[in-house]
Amino acid sequence: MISKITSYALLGLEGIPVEVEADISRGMPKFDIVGLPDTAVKESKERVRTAIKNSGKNFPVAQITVNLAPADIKKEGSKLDLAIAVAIVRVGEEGLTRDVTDTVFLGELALDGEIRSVTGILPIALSAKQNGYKRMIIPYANKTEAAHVHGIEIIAVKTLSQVINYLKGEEINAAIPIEFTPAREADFKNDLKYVKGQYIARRALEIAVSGNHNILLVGAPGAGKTMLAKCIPSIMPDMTFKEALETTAVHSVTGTLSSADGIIKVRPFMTPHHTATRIALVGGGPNVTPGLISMANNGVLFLDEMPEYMRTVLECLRQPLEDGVITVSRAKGSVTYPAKFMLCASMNPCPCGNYGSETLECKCSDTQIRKYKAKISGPLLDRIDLQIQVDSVKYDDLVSTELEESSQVVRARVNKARQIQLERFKEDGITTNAEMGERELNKYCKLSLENEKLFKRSFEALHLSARGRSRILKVARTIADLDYSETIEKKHLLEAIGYRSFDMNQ
Amino acid sequence: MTTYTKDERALLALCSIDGLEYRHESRLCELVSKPAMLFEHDSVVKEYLVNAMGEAKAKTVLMSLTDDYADYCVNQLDKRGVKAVTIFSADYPESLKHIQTPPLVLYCKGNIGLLKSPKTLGIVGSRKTLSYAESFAKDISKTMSGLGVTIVTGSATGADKAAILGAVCNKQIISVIAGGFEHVYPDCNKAIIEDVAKNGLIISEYPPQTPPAFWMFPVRNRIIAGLSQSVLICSGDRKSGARHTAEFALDYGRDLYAFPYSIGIKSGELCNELIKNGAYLCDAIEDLLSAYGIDESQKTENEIIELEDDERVLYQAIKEGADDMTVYCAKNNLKFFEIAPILSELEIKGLIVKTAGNKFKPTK
Repeated sequence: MISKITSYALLGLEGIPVEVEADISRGMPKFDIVGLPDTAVKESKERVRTAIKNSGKNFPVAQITVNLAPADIKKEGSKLDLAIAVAIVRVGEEGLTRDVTDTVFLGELALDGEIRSVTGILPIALSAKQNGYKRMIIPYANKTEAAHVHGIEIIAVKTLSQVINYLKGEEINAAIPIEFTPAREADFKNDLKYVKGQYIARRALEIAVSGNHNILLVGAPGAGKTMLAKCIPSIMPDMTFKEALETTAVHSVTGTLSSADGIIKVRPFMTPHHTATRIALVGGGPNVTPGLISMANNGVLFLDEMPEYMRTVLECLRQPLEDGVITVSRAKGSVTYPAKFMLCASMNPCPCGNYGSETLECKCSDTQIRKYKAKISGPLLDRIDLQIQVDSVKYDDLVSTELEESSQVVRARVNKARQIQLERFKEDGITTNAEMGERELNKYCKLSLENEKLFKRSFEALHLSARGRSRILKVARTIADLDYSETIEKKHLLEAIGYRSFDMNQ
Repeated sequence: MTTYTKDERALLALCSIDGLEYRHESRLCELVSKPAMLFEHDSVVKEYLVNAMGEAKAKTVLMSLTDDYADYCVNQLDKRGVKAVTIFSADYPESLKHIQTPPLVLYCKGNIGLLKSPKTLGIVGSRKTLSYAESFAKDISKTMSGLGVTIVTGSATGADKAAILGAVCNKQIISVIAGGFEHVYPDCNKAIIEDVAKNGLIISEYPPQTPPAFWMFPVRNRIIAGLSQSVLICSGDRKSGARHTAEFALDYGRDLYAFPYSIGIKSGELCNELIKNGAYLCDAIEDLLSAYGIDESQKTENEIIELEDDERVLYQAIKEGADDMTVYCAKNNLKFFEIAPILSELEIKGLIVKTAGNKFKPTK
């Protein structure tokens, strides 16, 4: 006798339906799982056997064969446990007659028959809905996450016996679909209102977020670079449902989703340590798992002390910064993960951090300083539109109890500026100023004759590099958007010149 | 092949011998009536060399003191486009001849005529010069060179670079390199030094292939001081190499100028110390103009810069010490984006510079 149950496997963020077939025949008792299972799936034998026994059912003493189809895709992890157990119980027991052809079973079994949470529920639910499945039986702990997917019935269960009773005909209430609501103020851990002073940096952050420009903060140790960077998610535009799903899908696969919310509403802020490897950052490894840049999708990737990172690691960021996706190719196949993030990096002016200071002595040699700066290559620097200095805060500012402008107020302005950009780029296939190429620059960043002259003059006076030209124009466009101005005016251009890159060539 | 006199050829050969120190070179020249005699390997010469460095080394030195080796040296220089100006040459600068240890040969690339400039000003300082001081130094270099004063400096980053950038457009610049021309130090200034060789002059007392050694830098500084009528020290901490230049300048009886610095600024300690000990304080270009006998009215007229009202207000505030814009904004109840364009405008006009940590300093 054979029974068939549907479950799901994941290849990257793509769900693949897996048919779990169980057959029981007479002969020497044994239990085989075939169909390219990985170690975690092979081990599920023991969990399934014990869980069935501890749920008050008899584990058949016979020759059991479980096949996972399609047989040519490697199945990973423990999420197939429940489906295997159900398939076996259904062959051996009478009366489990409920039709489950359009139901997906997912869950890891504990030895006592409880069902534990699994990773990747959200992308699987989205894929299952697309493939026409009507129902999903999932671990209770994954309930809120799955409930964000509308149009598929989510049945959250706690134990294996509950599932068996369900198959006998007992009803379990489906989870109520959750409507997506944007993040509330309390969801943000950091707020700009607690950042004292730093008016230049605050303004630069607002511009960077408005135009989705990457930003580099240069400043002495203790100047407050990290604190400023941490506030970026709180001033970024509200997440749309689509963005939230995209980001949650990645975190669901990596298992970094908190079960309380079930969905990510606050834009992620990822801070890889500077010893991070290429694979940790872009993704890969034996199971082709997403890297930190994909976990930062629709959010911020913060590289603290950027020159301390390995150069090869930094160079890996160039392509995703351009394309917004990363394709990881391994022997098992190629997987494409989203990687649309805003890069925020920080660095000291020199290895000891005191270069240029009037009061503190810089102990670095010329060569050291040059080497330090050269760690960040020109092409990578070209993708960072705003490069600003951060000053240390005066003591008087620190002790004042007056709060500064809050993130909420800034975010309102950012939202408006983004709206303007969406309108403008409707037909260009891009959404923000940072993505503008030469074509869009010519179309939307025209300067008046007078401003063109000023721009030329500033290049000579301030020794700007030709590479910096388009960066300054893009930033000027964003400043104009924040000012609701149709054209780039003199003051916008001048302000943008003020945020130009500092001399990195020396 | 460029023709040199026999004496000059002897000096070229002498100065190209590996490991022969300056004191030996100059002593050898004193032993013979004229350098050409060195090729004759007199017993006096032999004796001196054996006493000074032993039999074996003396032999190698004598082997190099030949007409053939001189030919080889001249060839090497011609191949690299380097002209040698020896102490016997008419091009050799008079001011350098009278110092205690004049270089026997100056290897030159560029406009040799600059060696005979009637007016010269040395501008030196530390590699870690604050950006507003750099900007001021550049300004001085530009104006002075525009008025016909040749600027003499080194090849390092910081103050040297500022001096070069200011004067190179006026083609009145001599950069003194510590090692040979093929090893410009630091590497990152190679392009700038090449520019100087094209528009001004670079000189060194060592053949082009000599790699630099740490002791060559203070030794080089005597040439900067020797070539200059006055020396301006832009910056330096207590241990800075600019101290050597200042000391040489005083030994040679040159006028010494220094920028003043506020208390506690490390890179200004040397300057303040020099001023304390009697160097002239230089905080405006007029200080130098009068010393060079240049009429102030000769100063180029585009110096008058027109300012809008709001620009004048901010410039005045920065001049009065409001360098932190966060504080300025808070005091005057302004948003930063309101003053950001004005700051850029002032920067483009060259009136202020941005220094580390977003501080703004006036340059004039």
